[in-house]
Amino acid sequence: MEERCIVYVVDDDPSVLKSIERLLRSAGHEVRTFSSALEFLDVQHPDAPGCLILDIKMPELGGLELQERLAASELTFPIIFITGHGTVPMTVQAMKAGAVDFLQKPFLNTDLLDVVSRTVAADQQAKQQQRELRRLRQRLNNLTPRECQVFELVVTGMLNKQIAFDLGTSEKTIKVHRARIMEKLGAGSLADLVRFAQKLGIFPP
Amino acid sequence: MDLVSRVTKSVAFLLLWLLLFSIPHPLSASPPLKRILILFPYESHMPGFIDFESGLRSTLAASKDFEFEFYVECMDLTRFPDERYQEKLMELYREKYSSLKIDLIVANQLPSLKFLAEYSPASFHKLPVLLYAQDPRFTGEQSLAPDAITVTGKLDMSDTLALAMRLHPNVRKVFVVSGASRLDKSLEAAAREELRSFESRVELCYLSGLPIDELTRRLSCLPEGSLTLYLAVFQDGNGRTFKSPEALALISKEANAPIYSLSDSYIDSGIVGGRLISHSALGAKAASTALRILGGEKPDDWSSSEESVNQYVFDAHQLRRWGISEDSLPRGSDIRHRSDSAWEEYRWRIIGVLSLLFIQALLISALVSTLQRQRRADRALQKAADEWQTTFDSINDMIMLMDHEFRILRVNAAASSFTALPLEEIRGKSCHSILHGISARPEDCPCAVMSRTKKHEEAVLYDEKRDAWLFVSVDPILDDRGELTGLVHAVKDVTEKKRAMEALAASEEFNRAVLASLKNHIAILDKNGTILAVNEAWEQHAIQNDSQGLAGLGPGANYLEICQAAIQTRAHLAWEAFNGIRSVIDGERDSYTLEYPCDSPDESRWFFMKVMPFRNPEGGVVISHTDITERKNAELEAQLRREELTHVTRIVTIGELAASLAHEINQPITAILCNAEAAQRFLSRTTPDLEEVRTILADIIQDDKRAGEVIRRMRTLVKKETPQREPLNLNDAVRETIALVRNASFLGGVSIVDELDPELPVVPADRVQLQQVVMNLLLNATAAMKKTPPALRKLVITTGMRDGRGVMVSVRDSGAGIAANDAERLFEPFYTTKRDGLGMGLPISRTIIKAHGGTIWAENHEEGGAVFHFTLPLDLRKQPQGGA
Repeated sequence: MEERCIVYVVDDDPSVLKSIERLLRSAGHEVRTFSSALEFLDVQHPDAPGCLILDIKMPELGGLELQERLAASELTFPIIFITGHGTVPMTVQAMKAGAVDFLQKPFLNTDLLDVVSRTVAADQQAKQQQRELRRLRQRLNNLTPRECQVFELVVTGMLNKQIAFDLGTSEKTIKVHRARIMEKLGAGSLADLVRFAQKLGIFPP
Repeated sequence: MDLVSRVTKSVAFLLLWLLLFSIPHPLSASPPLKRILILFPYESHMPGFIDFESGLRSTLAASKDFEFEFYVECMDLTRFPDERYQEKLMELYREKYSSLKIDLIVANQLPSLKFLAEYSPASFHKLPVLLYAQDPRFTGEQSLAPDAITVTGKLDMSDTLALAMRLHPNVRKVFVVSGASRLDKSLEAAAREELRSFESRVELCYLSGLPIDELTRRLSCLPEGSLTLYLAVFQDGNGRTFKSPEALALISKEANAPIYSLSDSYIDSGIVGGRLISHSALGAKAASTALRILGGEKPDDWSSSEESVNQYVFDAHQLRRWGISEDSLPRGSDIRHRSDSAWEEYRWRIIGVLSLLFIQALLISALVSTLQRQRRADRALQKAADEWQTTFDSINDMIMLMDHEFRILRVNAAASSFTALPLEEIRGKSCHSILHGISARPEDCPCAVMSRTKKHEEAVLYDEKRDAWLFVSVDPILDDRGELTGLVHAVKDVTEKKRAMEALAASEEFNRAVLASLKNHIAILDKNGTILAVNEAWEQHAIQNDSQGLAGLGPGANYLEICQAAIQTRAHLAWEAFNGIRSVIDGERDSYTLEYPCDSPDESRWFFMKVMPFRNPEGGVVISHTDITERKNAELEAQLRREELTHVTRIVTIGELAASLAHEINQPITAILCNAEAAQRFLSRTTPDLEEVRTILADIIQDDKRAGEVIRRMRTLVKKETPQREPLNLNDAVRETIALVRNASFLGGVSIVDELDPELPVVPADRVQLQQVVMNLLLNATAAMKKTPPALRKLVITTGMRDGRGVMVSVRDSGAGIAANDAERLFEPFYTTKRDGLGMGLPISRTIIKAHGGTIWAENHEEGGAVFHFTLPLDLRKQPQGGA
């Protein structure tokens, strides 16, 4: 699955910015560069997987501040920090806020490329899962409340007869519900239903 | 006046005498002789009669028609009124003149006429008689001598009184004085008659017939506003007879009011004057009548002459006595006894006498001057003797004159006080008994030596008795043969002088010791620069350092010439020294100092020269050289230390910058690494993008340069180098410094704004040191803004010209500003307002700026925050030598 991935780089040092862009480009990444955090924020970014390489020390708006702002928004980028002289408190703050990595300049190019590749892949995956969950949730929304009840009980491994008893209905009715649930959620088997339930966070009580 | 009149008389006689013998008597035919008998009823020498007689005689003598012989009889009838006396007298006259032919009788007044009428002999009866009287009222009865021809004057009482009242306008009382004789009484009667008309204007008091004492007393105490009219006093109330002028003289002396009278015979007796009858005029009048009678004219042929014989006559003495101005007198008044009258009258006589007196005075003065010369000589001699004695006595030293046996003959006053003995006790004694109280002569006494050598001898002896030092001298007095006749022996107490000299010697010794002990080389020069004296240190230095030794630099050598010679080899210093010494000698400055290097072959040395004026009348200077090599070395050492300290603080600053510097270097290195990796990858592609790689390589070179620059900057700051002055563009230095600190963590996001003057000229300065200063100021400014909200933190660095003479760099922050207490102390070492500050930044900055000839200061900006300025001069010459 060759989905399009974008690597964003923000650094106020033009020479560093340019060299990182080249490096990533040489490794086959699609790169977008910004010389300041504000410039980065000004641009509408596509909902594509990727990562953000961010210099911590920049005039006006620093890397950590940008991280905070992004966390508050809907945009989620895995962030790799690069810095000339990182301090421990700075690193801790960045990592707590969800940074992927923290690289000290001058870093090994392989390190950067590895981290970027890993992060981009992870993001790609995460982005895919997110899309799948969104799809499941939409399907879940199509279920009637009775079907939702039945769905929650089915994934616990209860038999139709047991469910009918619990719900005070007939086994046959449950069978019909079960077939409709399978159909609406696009599941081919009970195992699919259980996996969906796990993804959706629906666990038997 | 007595003297003058006497002299006048004697001169008159002298002249008369000369005249008689010098002029031959003229021979002429003698005219007929006429004999005239003058009968005068009173005693002889009555002034009025004398005047009358001389007036008569002189007039007659002037006649050329006759010669006259005069016979005068003063009958004294007033005092002898006895008839028998008159009978006998007439008998006598008859007998006396029987053999003479009398041609004319001139009879005075009434008494004579009566006498003639009653007693004259028959021989007289046919004789013409000329009767004269002062006044017609006293001619008596014409019947007594019907043939007598009368000549009268007039006693002018009313005119006289009127005159007196005019001269004394305040007169209220007039005292009319008359005596007790018949004539007196008749005068009084006439006065009472004539003066009646005055009674309405003035009170008339008649003092008649008073005793002379009483009269005198009364007239001496008359009331104010009185005057006296004196008629006559021939007899007073006590029967005492007078010549009337005598009585008047007695009265007038005591009188307290002016006296007027009627006859000029009183003019010398104390009257002021009056319209007086002149007896000599009356005599002249009588004489002219007599001539007519003798000429044969009949009395019937002429009427009695009315020619006045009265005249206004005054006594100048009395005018003065009563304060009467001569101006108020009637015109033509005869003023007697006026001071110039004698001169006018006797001018030639006075001149003659004065000439004689003058000659006499010359003779006398010649005599006197001879005498005075004599006296002067005597006095000079006496004075010389006195002076000698005074001098002798005024000498404070004891001086004794002695005979050849050494006995004291004479001593001065000092000897008495010196020995505390009276002069009398000293004389005759020997000097040693007087001085030392011993009988034998002390052996060291110069007298003993002198008696052998017979020359001046002297010695300084200690006198135990007085605890004193005595200077004793002896001078022999020798006679012609060289034998000793006496001696002069002087003793002087020289204790004080001796002690003073000892003190002086001690002081000199002290000074010499002080000078000798000084390490400074000291020399005294006269105003020409010649060395007068030097101390031991100078000598030593000269011997060791000058090729000629002491001869070249010691006393006698000219220091200015030495300096001039040295100008050839060490021009700058020698020239300065020469001018400096010259200026102190000339008084242009009070002192001159110079520090100069003067290396010896084995070591480098420094000397400090100080030139001060030599305070004595001849002028000159004192020169002192001090070896200050140690101090100079210490100074150089200190400078070295200072430079090290500057360096260390720089390192400390750079330590603070370490992170920032790391960042500065990391950036290009990171870029280089990335670029290199990228290039590798591009190259390893199947279709390598060479163009891309070329750009990358260019960037790599650029970044490498950039990293190298950072390292270079850091190294220059860290490196310890001797400060160097080179033309420096301050703008560049500032920009580099900003670049160094821009990313420093301590800046805490402060933005640095630079406002640099593009026209800024280059200044001679040490780049590293100035960057250190700028960096210090930037660090301080940043630290000052720690408490300022980040958004307000601002740092402005400015460069620009200052006053056209230098450049100024200012660093302004937006912190709290400088507290008043800190302003003064900011630049003190180890004073810091920062918690972790070293307190050396600003002191070192100041040292650096001062070494560049500039100044650094701090102030609060009017819009808040502090500003630090420093200036640097454009001109290298204004900068001090040597670095920080």
